[in-house]
Amino acid sequence: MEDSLLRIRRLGKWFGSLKVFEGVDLDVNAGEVVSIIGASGSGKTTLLRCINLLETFQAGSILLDGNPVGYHEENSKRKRFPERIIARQRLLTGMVFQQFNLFPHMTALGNVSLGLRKVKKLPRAEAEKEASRWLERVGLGDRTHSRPSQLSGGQQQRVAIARAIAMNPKILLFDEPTSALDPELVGEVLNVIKQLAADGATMLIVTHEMRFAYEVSDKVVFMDNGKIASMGTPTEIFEERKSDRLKEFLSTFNN
Amino acid sequence: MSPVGFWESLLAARMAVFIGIFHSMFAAVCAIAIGSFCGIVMGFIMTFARKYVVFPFRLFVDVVRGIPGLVVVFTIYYFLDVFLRSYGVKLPALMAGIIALSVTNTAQMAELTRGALQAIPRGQIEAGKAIGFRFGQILYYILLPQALIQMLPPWVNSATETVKGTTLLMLIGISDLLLVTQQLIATNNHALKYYCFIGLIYFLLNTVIEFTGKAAEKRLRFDGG
Amino acid sequence: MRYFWNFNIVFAQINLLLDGLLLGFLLALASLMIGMALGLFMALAAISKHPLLRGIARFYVTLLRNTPLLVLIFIAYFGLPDLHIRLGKSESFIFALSLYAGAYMTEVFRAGLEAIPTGILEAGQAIGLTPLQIFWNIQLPIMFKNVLPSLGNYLISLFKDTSLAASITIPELTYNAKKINTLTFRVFEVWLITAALYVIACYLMAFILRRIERRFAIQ
Repeated sequence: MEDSLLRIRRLGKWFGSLKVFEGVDLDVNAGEVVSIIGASGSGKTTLLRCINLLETFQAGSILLDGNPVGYHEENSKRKRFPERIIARQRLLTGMVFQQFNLFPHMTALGNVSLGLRKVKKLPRAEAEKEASRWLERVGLGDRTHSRPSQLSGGQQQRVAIARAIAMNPKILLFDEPTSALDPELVGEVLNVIKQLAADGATMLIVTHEMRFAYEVSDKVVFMDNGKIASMGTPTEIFEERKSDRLKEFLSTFNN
Repeated sequence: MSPVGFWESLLAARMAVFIGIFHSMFAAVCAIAIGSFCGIVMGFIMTFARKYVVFPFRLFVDVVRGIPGLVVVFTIYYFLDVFLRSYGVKLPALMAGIIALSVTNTAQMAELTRGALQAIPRGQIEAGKAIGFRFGQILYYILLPQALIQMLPPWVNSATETVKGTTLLMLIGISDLLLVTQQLIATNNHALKYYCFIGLIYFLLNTVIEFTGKAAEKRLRFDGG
Repeated sequence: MRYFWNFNIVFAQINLLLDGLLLGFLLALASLMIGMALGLFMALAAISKHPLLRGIARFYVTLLRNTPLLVLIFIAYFGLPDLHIRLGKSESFIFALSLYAGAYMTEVFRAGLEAIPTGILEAGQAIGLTPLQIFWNIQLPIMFKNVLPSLGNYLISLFKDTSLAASITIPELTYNAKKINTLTFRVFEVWLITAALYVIACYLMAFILRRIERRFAIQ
């Protein structure tokens, strides 16, 4: 088997004495789309935030492109990388947040080009050209100079997607990207994600949109109680529904 | 170095210092009491009265808030002085000072009260009407308690401002703490130590007020915050 | 009582009053600028993880907020020479008012920084910005837009505080008013005009600041 792009081994996370998850193993290969489903509180968002190093984790390892991120062994002691290195490691992943988290003081173009200018050190003109190319890709070529407050939720989330993908990450992480949206705005965001999937992007998506997960994923992960309870193809997960917990969880969704 | 040490000279002048503290505190307490009462009444009027009734109060509040405290003190002191002298009465400076601080405080409190009352959702008044309360009852049972709790932190704030404001009174010749100190300094040369000492006294007084206010706020909050 | 109004005597000296007004405004502006720099450092200390830094910021704010400005001015002007630090009148006053303003700025900036949702900072982390880049490109500009209205209000408030400069005979508006009062004995006229000048100046500043604010606001 080829080396996977993202390899998570025995990952464990506690908030103090409260266990969030434990013993999580997950592989994502290049070009694969993996969805994570599960009830709220099952630890799926926290898992995603660990991969982006926004959360600490206490056990296990995350390998991106074969290299450990976040922590390394030094004299058989587990040590967190310094902040500057962590900032660089975050470039391997792109994150799309549930609440968009656009920078309110910048235009759409400013949001997308900031990382290109300050992290990738592109000159302003080039960064902005690149940024507007990505905004066009998500269908917002005409809104480059709008501020977040002038955009609908769906448009804001598409800017956030452009901002993440413009950094050219190896893998895109989506944290419930449509949960904060009005129902009529969900479609436009999901369509953008589907388009990215069709173009061969590697993605890990935490979602409550079961139909979308079924359509877009190569692999679906069901998390329950801080563990990966089932993993398989969409058909295996959504149609065969092998475990009782999975049946119970899926029965709460009517679609 | 001066022949007389700082602590010695302070000890020798302790009575003057106590009187200074007393004058300052007396002025502050009077101004806070008068200002709070007049200000709260004025705030209610400004929220609920007819437009033409509100206007003079609004003007008073806006004008006073646009003038520095020191100018209010000077203006009232000189006005009263000239006015009373024309009747052959000599104005007690402390009274002018207390009136001036009260005026400043009243304007501040009126604005606070108005803000607090307007922050109460209109539904509260309607709920009061719905259970058959008269306006007075709505004021007393529903609006006043809610407004007072909202106002407590800024009220404490304006109380400490008033205590600090008593230092202005020295500039019209009231022997408050600061003027007493200045007279003491004239007889020796411990300026820095004396002024720091005064600063410390004010600091302690205000910290006590602030602390008491915070404790009261914690006890009175009903939203569990 | 009978009083014969005569505004002309005072109006003849209006330039003296207007000069004083301008001086007061400049003193306030200088103090605000220095106070802002001081306040920014203290606000960063106040939200830092280091307990000692937090303690320093807290102590500074409590101490300065609870001490009368007039006492600070006297410490700066009459007290500091005891330590062989001799400042001119205006320097002493700006020193005292800046320290005083810095305490309020600390609170304003701290609140402005804390009001920024953490998600926005995480978004900065997610695109690989370093903590310093996040502070410079995201926190600082958002904070400034958040606090712009309060900054304006504090400028007005500091302008009013400059009347205390009269106590160490700096020729600002209040001092000049007192001087004219002594010279002419037109008590009512002098103080009415002075009060009016302060009120007009404050509301004019408020009006101009609102317009500036609207241009900078994040809709």
